[in-house]
Amino acid sequence: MLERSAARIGEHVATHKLRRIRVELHGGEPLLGGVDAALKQVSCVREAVRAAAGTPCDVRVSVQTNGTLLTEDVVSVLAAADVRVGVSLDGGRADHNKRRVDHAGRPAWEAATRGIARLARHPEIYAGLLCTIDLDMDPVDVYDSLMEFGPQALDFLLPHANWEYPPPGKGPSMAGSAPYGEWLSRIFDRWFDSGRYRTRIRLFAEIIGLLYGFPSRAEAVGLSAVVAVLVETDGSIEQVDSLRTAYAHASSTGMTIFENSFDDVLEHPGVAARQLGVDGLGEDCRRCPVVRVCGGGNYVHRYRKGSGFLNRSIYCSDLELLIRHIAHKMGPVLGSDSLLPD
Amino acid sequence: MSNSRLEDRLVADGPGGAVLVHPPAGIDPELLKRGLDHPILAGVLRHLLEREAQAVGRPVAYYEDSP
Repeated sequence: MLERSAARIGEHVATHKLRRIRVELHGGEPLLGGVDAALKQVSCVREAVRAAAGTPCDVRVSVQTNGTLLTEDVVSVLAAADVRVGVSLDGGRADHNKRRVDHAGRPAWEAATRGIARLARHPEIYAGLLCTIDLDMDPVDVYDSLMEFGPQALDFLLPHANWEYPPPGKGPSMAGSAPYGEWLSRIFDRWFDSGRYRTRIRLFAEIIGLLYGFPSRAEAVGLSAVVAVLVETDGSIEQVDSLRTAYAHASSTGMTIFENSFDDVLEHPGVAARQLGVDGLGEDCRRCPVVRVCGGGNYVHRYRKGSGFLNRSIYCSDLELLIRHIAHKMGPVLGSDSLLPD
Repeated sequence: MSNSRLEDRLVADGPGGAVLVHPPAGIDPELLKRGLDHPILAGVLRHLLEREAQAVGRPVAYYEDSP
């Protein structure tokens, strides 16, 4: 299975003469099978790419972990293999992470913090922290506490939700409210007004870039083509697993690494829909003046039974509030009031 | 924070070091220069300019739940 996956990646690199690819080890917890197993996957992919590609290709590997298994040895081995490590946390303190427990139900916080401390001693592979938003927590407290871990990058993720399954604090009848936009705006102000650049907050950096006219590189905002597929441990090729929050088997493509190339997957309607830019959006979005920045938001968050993904995001009002807030803060600095149409 | 200019290039020596790049097409150079005078915008712009300088092919977006 592993060799076949690696060979498919090598095949894709060779076919398209790619000079750089990203391989991400994901879970569950990707280090649960041991760091040696993870590194075997990495070396297998690198070897397959080397063997298949006619020109050098930079294989950038990362792992997203809960941090609990980052012992000194594990961090050292990952650093030696040039594998970047991101850690998922719900905030920077124990009480923010009460829902994170180990297999025996014990709090995972102590082990996670020890792991991050070890990781922070290897800044060359410390990729940063991801935090899913919880409206019950104070945003500034969450941000300040996460900054104590010295991340060079941070991101705040909207909880996966859609029009059928709205996020906490925001039912369909509250679609015009923007509690997540307000929550994020408070962190933006803390970060933007701090007077010193200490970390990159991905969502904010992408929005700033889009307001300037740069293309985005994240699926949360912007209109860039999303270029991720997922290989399951049984060899099936899927779209990103976050799609499963829309409905059962939403991420399925019906393809496997045994029978299909990654080029085959590009023909799948669900994958193609995320490559179309503004043409892949619903009518509401295409008419909206904010669309070149929000890009309709994360595809996953647009789902509604009956119309599929051709809808506004359940977070539409939150994204608009945040984007306008950022534009409003940038305007006086840049001497421009035309970053965004009214 | 300095904000030197060399011909059509911008130099921003922010906290992570210097970057020397041509302003990308479609980006207002005057807005870039003004942004480089703000500590947070300068940090973000340095990252974006480096990223665009290394970019190959059309822009692509990556999976959100990854570093």
